[in-house]
Amino acid sequence: MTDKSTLHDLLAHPFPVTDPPNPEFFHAWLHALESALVQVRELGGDESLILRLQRLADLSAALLEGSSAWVDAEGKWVQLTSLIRETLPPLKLDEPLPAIPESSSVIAPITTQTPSADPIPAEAMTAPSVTGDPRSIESRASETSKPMASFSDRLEQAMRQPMRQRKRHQPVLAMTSKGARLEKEIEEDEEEEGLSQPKEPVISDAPLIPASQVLDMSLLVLFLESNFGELDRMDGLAMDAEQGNTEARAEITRKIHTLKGELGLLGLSDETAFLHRLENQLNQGEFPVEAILEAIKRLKSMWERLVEASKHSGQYALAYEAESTGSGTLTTSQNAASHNASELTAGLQTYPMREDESIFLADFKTEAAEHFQSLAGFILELDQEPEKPDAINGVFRVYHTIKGVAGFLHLSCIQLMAHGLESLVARARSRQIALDAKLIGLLLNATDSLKEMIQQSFYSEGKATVMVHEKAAELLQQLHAVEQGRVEALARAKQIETGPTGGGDSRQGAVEDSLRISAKKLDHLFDALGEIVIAQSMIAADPLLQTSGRVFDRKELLALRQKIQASQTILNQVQQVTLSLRMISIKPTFVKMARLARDVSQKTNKPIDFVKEGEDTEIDKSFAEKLSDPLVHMIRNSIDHGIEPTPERLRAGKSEKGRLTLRAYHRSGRLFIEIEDDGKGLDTDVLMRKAIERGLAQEGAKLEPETIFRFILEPGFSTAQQVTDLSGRGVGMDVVRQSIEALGGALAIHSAKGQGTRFTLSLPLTLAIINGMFVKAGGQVFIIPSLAMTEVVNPSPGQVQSLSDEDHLLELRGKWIKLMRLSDAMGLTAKPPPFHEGVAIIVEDGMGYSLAIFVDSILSREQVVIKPLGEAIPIPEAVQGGAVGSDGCVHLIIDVPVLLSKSMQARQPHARPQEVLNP
Amino acid sequence: MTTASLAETGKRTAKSRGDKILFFRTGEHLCGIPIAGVVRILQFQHVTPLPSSQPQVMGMLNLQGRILPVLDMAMRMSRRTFQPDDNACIVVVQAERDGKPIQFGIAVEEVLGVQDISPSEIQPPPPGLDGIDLSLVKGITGSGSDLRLLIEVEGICKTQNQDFLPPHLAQELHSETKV
Repeated sequence: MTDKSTLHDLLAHPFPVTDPPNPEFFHAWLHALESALVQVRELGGDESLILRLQRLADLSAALLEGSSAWVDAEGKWVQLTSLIRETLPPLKLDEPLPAIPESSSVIAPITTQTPSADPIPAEAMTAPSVTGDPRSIESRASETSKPMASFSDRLEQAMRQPMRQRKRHQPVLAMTSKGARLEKEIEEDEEEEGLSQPKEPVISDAPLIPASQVLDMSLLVLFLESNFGELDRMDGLAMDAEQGNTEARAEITRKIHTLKGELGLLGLSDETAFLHRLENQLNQGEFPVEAILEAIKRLKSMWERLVEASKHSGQYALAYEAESTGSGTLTTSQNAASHNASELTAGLQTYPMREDESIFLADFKTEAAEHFQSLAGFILELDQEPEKPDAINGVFRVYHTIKGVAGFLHLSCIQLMAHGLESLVARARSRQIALDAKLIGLLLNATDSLKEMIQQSFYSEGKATVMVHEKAAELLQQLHAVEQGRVEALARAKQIETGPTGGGDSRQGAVEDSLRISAKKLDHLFDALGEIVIAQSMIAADPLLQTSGRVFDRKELLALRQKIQASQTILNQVQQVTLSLRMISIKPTFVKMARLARDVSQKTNKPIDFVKEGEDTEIDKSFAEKLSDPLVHMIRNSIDHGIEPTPERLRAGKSEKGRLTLRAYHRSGRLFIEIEDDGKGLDTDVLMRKAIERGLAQEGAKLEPETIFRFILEPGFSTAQQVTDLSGRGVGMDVVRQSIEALGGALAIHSAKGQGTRFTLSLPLTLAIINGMFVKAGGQVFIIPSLAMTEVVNPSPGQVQSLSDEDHLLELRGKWIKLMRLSDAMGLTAKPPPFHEGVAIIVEDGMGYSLAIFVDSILSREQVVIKPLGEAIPIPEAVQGGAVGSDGCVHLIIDVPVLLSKSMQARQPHARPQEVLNP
Repeated sequence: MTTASLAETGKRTAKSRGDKILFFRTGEHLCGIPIAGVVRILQFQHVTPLPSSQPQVMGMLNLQGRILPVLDMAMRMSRRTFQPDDNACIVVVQAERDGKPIQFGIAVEEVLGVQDISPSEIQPPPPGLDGIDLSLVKGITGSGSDLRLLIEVEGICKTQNQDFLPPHLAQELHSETKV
């Protein structure tokens, strides 16, 4: 049972402020709050009290969820805590409320005033108002009508604070106790601004970027990056929930709740309010799927805007609101390292400064000199005792202070440096990294640079000038590298962001370049790397290699071989994981398509069942991005042109709902994506007529259906009677073909009139490791991807019959299939062995066609990395790429799909089996 | 016409103006390419033959994890088969095609050295030579038995100013010759 005093305590100390911030403490407090809430509910407590507690709990939970982002951000934490304290001032039963300023709207938090049957809240709530200033009671009473609004307005207002241009404060404040300063600032700001305007006019001259704003940006970045994937997922969830999936529904409710909290924190009040309404609806048992999808769409577009803007400025804060006119010098700790613009630029840096501010610069230099004296002592203490709390806190304090003042004076290069140092120390303080000798060295060097920058700065004629040496820029980069490169810190998050794995050529947007990699994969990688180091040192330490000129026995040799083999195994693992880093699930793409299909289906008024198959198929990340456009076109087409309107479907004896299947799978070492509808199919007559009209085909020509279908891939080819806003302009399929071909893929169309159409995209897995069968044919070694094989046969004499020198048939379980000598296919002239001495490898094209590839012998099976053969010379079609075998030599990888299609076309161009829709 | 003499010439003329040219021997010819286009010089090693390709394509080479084609310089220059011996080298060169850098190796019988050649020492090849591909040779230099051909790197992977046939055409040609 919650007794009076517990609740009283909770309300009296609405937020546990500790310095340094202590999430555990906060956790405990939140827990107590939540149980109190439950019990007040059970007791049937005052509605508005429950609401208020609920708000408090929501907000606290949201704060807590973000708290990991603030572990290294003390300023922010304290600021938020004080903000909340401001918003919800402590209630003392026997004390009057704190004095209320003239602008009555400042006091919004205590909105419950209704006497209640429940003694606890009533007592808690009414007591202060009795003793309070009558005017304030009035003002509060006037607000009781909209308690939520005032609360959230106020909160949002407060949250928005750090995002906004700050008024200039006296620099001495920045040097004093942090908490007090921030609170004071808030008070002042609120008084000045009166809270009535949600957005303040821009102060357009050189802005002051307070230290805390850096953290806001990083918070925003963190939020955006962690949630964008979620938004896609929510699309999927919303649709599942619509189908009656209660679990999905529960999850989406949770997600909306979380999002709301986070958005609130970021000061995005419109979005927060929207989500809040949505949440209310959900809680009342409605499921407004349209509204949810709309919300997701809005958030996505917001995200995209931010990303777009971040490309130009490298700053989210700039992107977010025009309020922030940061000059592009300050950036977040998130993308600082990857953005050259955010790094220090060596050379003389000048910053506009008013004359009256120049005295602050002098003060700053003097104070900083004192700080540096103590700093050196602290750092050296840390060298002796890396985790000494006094020293580490002392160091942190100095950097933080310098950062704050430099920010106030707009000396962004100093600020950047101090921020880099501060972040590093913050991480050390929260034990995310250990300060080893190397790091201490880095700290000392960077501190020296910082000191140099400050000491050499000067003011003249409206400008402050700071000399930035190249060394300083380098040191800052190192700081960022250390900060970002730490495994321990990264692995904590469930999913982490990591830089591009490729070269440094793709440096445009900080967000776009990043690759989301599951922490599990990275863990594997690091584990394996650790092992390989051990294995390698074991080999190096092997007695056999240590001594020379000695006879060794077989046993020793075996032992060494075992060690080498062990390291080989681990190395393979490393290779596999490394390459898999680029592979991502196709699921997000599928969900996106499901969403699109839904929209198109509604727009065209054609109900459909959207079926996803093989969602877990992994594809290369770069493919996932580039696939999106062609898929969008094809899905639109399928629904708009393929699937008939309901009446027509019913007349044709089909189900009312159309069926659209999106399917992905790996086969024969390639990625296949299929889009299949059960619509009206392609009409060869209509297509033919159109083709003749456009001069693509001769009148009366007899063409294969396959060839006729391909006309739709021609530019400007459209049979649509009517151009809708969705499709029909005859641009789509042409674009599709181009983008697929650009990816090295191919597009096949199968269609049966009245039954439906299937588009099959086949794409290479260029970056994959494949299991390759090393075979010998015509005196040369080739690699056949194992994925393409179905079986391997040693033909018995008589199992192969030759029709001519080049046409051979293999009897396989009563069926004759074509047998092709690999040496013939590759144009090698060496005399092949008789069939019963070689091996036949059976491959199939996934559509029912099989081929036997005859080789002299099979040598081994190895994992190989497919590599391109370069562009200098033409590569034979049947060669997919090359790989370096264990002998260090290049071996050619056979492109089985090409062999298959060549084998079909070469001899029997018109004998391709009639395609069926469902293989 | 030995390595030593060329190397010495190289040293002597190192200070003089002009392009630095890497000279090598292929068949009976002395050829040179600008050193700027040379990526690396390797001892001759096994290359994996690329079936169904043109005769001057010797095969594929693994250069630190990258796979590069190696062209037979003797075959390219004068349709003679390359005979590797202990002095044979693969010169990895970089050229540009359609604005994109391409790399490949050329197999040569011997690498002689680097020498500065000033533009005044270069003479355009006289027309009407049959045994060598003139689309490849952009100038001649030297005197007496020391006649040297200056090769255009871009031209090495072209025939008669034409890029190689696209793969499918090459395939068709190939199957035609087979049938």
